[in-house]
Amino acid sequence: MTAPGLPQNADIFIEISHDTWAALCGHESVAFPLERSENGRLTDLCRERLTQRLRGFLSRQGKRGRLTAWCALEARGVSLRRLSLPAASSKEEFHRILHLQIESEFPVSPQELAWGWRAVGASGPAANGGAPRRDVMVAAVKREMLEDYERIFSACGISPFFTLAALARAAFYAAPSASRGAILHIGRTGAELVSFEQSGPVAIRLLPWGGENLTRALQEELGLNREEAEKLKRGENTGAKEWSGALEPAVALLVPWLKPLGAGATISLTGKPARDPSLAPLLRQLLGEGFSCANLEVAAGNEGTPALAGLKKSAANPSAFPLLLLDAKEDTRVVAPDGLAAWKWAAAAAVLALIILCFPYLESVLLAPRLEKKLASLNAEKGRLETIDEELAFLQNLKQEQPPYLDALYLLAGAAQGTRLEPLSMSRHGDVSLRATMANGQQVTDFRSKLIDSGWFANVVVEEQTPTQDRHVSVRMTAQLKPLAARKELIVESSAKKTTAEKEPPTKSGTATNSPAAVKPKS
Amino acid sequence: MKRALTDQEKRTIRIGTVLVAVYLALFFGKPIWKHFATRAEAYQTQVAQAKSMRQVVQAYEDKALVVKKLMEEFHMDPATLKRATLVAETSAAIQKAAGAGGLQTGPIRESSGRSSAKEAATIQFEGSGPVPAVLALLHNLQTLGFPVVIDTLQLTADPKNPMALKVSMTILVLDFEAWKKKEEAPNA
Repeated sequence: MTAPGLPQNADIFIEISHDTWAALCGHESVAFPLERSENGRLTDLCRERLTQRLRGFLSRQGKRGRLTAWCALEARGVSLRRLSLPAASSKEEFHRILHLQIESEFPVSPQELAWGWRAVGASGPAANGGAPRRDVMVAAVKREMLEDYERIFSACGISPFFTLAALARAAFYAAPSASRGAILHIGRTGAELVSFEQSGPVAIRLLPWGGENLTRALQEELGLNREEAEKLKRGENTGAKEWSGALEPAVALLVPWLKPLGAGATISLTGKPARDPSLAPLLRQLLGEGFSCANLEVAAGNEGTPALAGLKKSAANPSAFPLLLLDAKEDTRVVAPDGLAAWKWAAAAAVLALIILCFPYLESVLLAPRLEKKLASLNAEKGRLETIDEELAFLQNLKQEQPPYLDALYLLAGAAQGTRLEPLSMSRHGDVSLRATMANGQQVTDFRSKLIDSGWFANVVVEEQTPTQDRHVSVRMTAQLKPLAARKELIVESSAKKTTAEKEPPTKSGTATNSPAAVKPKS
Repeated sequence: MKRALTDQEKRTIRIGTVLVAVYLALFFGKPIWKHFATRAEAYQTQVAQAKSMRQVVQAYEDKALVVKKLMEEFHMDPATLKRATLVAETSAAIQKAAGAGGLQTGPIRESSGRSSAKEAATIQFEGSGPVPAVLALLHNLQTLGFPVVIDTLQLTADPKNPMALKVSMTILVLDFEAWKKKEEAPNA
């Protein structure tokens, strides 16, 4: 799996720093100064001038049509991270993992970044013996920082591809694979330090040290004014006395940043201040044994700057000197899966809508067999319902037809205290007839009153009342049992309570019952 | 070796696929849609039918509970009664209940019941015994497990035993089959 690289053909090479825009086309190079506003963006005037100059430059070079430019950016505003990722089975998966890692490592979302990556070293197993991992170097810059440049390029009909100037310088330097060191690019007020290991560039640092430090040192040590100090620094005042000693305090400030590179490291100097021939020897002297320092700025020759020279060198042999592409366009590597996911979601939504639309029809197809079974079972139960109806009618009729013989006997026995009943007949329709022998006429009257008062009997008729020879009265009576709804509630006293009833007032012990124990007619 | 399709070719294929899909949807979609609409309509009718039937069945749940209670009360399941042996079994059960209570069984006469009154038979029962035995028989007849109704009851003193009663009952045996709705005979 290889990192996306710059396109094979480049028509123009450009290096953009904070204050200079340098271009190389063919063998001709040109540099334009830049003016920036407080927020670091190019001013409108600067952008217009730059567009015109760039058009003129391209016109002079005979370049027409759509052109491709390789642009090297300074490290200011660029974040460089070395990430260790689990090895992925496919390119898409690797990009997805990388995207997630960038999202967690950088404070800005990947969509707002122009970022690129390149492999560092070979993939190998994890330290804990886990799945193999792969180290990559990721460089990222805020997309908005490139907008100004893209507008200029767009106006000139140029398709830009951005990379890092530090890496381009490294390509120009082309350090041996086993070497370790750094490239120190000295600007006016700051410096970029790119450190290398065997596997390639590993870190970029911005140092608050630049040509201004040298100028100030010359002014202070030699008592020169600024203009003279600048001339001396650029090597124009060749008649001046030896000045390298005056630079020592300023150059010594670099030592703490370079010492950690360790003995054996090679430090290459670039940038205009590096043109001072005394700077590299002075730095080597201050760093001590084991360090070597070289001036790359001079080596760039006609190609303007080491960065431009590195871009050209890499374009000539991209596989030998691969550069990291900062993708300033929409992040298609990641958007592609996202776009795919969006399509999937859209398709899922469409399918869902279709299902909702077809649901009534699907329901009829899928659930019809189940419903038919249910209907069949309900139809089968319908036959059972008729049986329930018949049984209910039969049992209710049976209950209604049951005459309350035991209740009637209970009431008759209770009313006929001291009376001899014989015979007694009752019918299902409520007809009651009895013959009894009572003590006197008053008892007959009492008996009839009790039957009527019970609320169960109607039409109590003494059909015949005849005095007997033993001064008793023989009575023949008929009565009619009232219908169920017209009967009073029957109060039944248990036999146990009845024995104590003489001492205590009678209490309601319950409703009607047919219990033989409770019903004892007197014979 | 296969040539990879260009983006333009892929786009053409995509558009073509969409157009073919639209064509198929226009010319074959309507009858298919109509078929499914008819099925859906029939399904909805069945659903409504099932709902109304369910309501009917639910209304019968209360009736079933009443039937169950009455069956427990009478110790009887009408569906298990056999018409052929109903009278014989009922008569035997009455005599058994009378004997168990200490009642001495007298003459028993059986006669056919009135079909208009949905009666299977009429049993004339006579017996004598102590008062508790008579009352117990009256009580137990209701829980005998057979559909019996005492039509008439006559109690007289037993001249041979002053502590006993003579009982004479006319017992109706109801016919459950007569309560069932008759299937209408098909027209010839």
